Amino acid sequence: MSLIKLSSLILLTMLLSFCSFGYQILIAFGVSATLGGSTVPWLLTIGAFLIGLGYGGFKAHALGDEQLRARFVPYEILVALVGGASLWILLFADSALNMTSLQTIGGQVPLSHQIIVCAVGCLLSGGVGYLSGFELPVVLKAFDRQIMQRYSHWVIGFHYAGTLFSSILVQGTLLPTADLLKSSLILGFLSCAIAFVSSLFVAHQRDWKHLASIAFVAGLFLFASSHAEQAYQYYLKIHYLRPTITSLESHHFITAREILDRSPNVERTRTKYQYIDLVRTPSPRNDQEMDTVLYLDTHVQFGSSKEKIYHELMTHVPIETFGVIPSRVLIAGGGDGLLARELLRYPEINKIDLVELDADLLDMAMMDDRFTRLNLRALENPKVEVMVDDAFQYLRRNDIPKYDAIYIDFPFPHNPDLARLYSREFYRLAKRNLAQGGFIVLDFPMELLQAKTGGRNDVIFNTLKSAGFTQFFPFTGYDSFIAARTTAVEIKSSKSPLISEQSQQALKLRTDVLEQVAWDDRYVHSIFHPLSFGQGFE
Amino acid sequence: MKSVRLVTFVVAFCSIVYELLLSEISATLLGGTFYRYILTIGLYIFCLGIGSIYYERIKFKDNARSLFYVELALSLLGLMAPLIPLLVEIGASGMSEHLHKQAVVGSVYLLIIYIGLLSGLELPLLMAIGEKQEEGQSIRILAIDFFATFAGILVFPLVLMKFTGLFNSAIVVGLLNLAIFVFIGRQLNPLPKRSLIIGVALALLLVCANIFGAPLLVDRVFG
Repeated sequence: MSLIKLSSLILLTMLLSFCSFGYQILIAFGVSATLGGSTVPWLLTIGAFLIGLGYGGFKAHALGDEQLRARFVPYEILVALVGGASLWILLFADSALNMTSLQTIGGQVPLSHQIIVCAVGCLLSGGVGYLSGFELPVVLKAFDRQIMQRYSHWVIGFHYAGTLFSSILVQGTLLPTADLLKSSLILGFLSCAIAFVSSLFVAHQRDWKHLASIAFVAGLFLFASSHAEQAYQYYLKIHYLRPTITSLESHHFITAREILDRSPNVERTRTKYQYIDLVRTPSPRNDQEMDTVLYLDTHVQFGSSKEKIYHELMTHVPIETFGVIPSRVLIAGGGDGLLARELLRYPEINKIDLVELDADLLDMAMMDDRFTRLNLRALENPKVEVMVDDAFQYLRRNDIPKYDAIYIDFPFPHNPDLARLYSREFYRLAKRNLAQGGFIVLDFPMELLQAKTGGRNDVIFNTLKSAGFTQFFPFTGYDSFIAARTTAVEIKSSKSPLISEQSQQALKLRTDVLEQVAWDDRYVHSIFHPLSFGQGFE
Repeated sequence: MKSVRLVTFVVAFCSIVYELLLSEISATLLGGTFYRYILTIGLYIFCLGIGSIYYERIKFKDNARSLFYVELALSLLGLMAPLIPLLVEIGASGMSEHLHKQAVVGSVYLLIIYIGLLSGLELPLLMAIGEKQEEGQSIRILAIDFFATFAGILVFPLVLMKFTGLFNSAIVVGLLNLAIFVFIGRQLNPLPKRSLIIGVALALLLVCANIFGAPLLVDRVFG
């Protein structure tokens, strides 16, 4: 009998810590996803969780056994409620902030917004942490003294094992399968189940009030889960369409809701590495056409109407300027296939190697009509070899050929993982794999109006220089690019016959940017000493 | 032992920073920052639990002396932490790609677990020392431990990584830990002279290894 009791107590304590750390992981992930990926906000929520946990444990030690036992089920119900609702609250806060501000979509998140979302996350984490701090003391003291005297070590050990399982399973399995809103509900149901079973069998209290509360919370979550898809769509649409509310009058809300209901759904795909969002908006050129814009982790990549200018400029300007057409080219990233399309217009190019990390993005680029219409099936061209790999790891290989040109087409460095691709170490690897007289070109958000000392411009140019590049050629269209070489050549005219009239008009050479750069080793961005690329890009 | 509360703060701070350093290294070499950090913190919490259980089973005779040896070990391990994964990365480059990755993963997580287990011994030892000095102090020590962990989580990305970078952060924290174990060691009776001298010497050697060796290793790994 005591073995059964012991096993059930062990299972109970494992599930308790599994859920409480699980909520924490979800909240951290939610904060990271809504704020575009920087590390500090979500690390703070983990800190808040630990503080709450410690404080809860501290309070629990001051209580007597009877008091502890009495609090167990009510606290567990609260954990279910707050934890299960946590991501809904977080996304709601983000949406409310989005609707009351006039910031650019797909760009940087303003600091005040970051602080508020982070604060909400910390409050939620701290709250769940505090309530969870009671769990272990309750199990140790208030349930079965006899068993605890002999086996408390096992119980403590499995309690912490629950945390470990949570850290593996919640982000490895739960999040990829159920995404944000449903994951927290699933854990909420689990907490409800624990509270239910406990109130019946363990806590020796069959209190109808508790059972009623559990039923209420479970019912609430059931209702929420049936509306989760719709709620998520509202969240995404508010994020991308920004119907603004200027006052709290009800007709504003009604209009906003109409706008949201009328607009087409945001297609969100969660891949192993990022969120791919396809958003249909009225085209900037004329309101009748619909533009499809691609976002990766809520950061804008390109829109179907303006992508031509971007890719034409990035591809052809360096080739024309340096005066040599490469025969073997590497595209790092560029899984949308649009750069490849432009490169294939040169018959002189024999081989294009494309290294993209995200296989799901490649699938989309090769199968989805909206992509193939744009990239003209470039990825299926026999000259193009597509490889699924981390570009950084690929460049470290010893068995790859030297390239005449390397096109680096990554999203901007919004999170630490992306920032590593803009480091001295990465550019050194790129240089190592460049043939004599070769060039690299990257798209990079240079500061075009007012360059700050120690800002993005200083960082990128110093980093490129320390990697061994000596000649730089910055140019812009609607986005900014940098072409770089290890050996200097004379700059020829950038007028290429392959660039359309529209793109030619948008093109501006920005060698003036180089005059403002402060050349200093302090501004070198290394993976071992990461620098920030300016507010909103860390 | 003097200044138990200060010792608790520094010791807990160093432990969490070692673990965060290791998550950063694993993220740098293997990718997936969020995943690595969460997994490391989960492992750390687990090891803390195991450490405290282990403490219950072994009746330590002299708490302060045991703490001294734990801190000595942690200081040395923490200083080795940035170098070992890089060495494994180089040493295992002859193996197949899959095995190579496993070797690096293994070395990082072994370090995380080992440091976590040792850190798990810290808190119970300090609580016992504190309780012996003054009744009810153990709870305050527990609280300080938590605050130090929170401080470490804030300071690591905002201060250490920002101003000193990965290798120098390991040096700073390793030296901090060294100062603490020397502080503890000097209060012990009888004085563990040999351990103190060897410990300090090894630690300083490792500091030099970090200063001079790290750039060499980085160049070798990243071409």
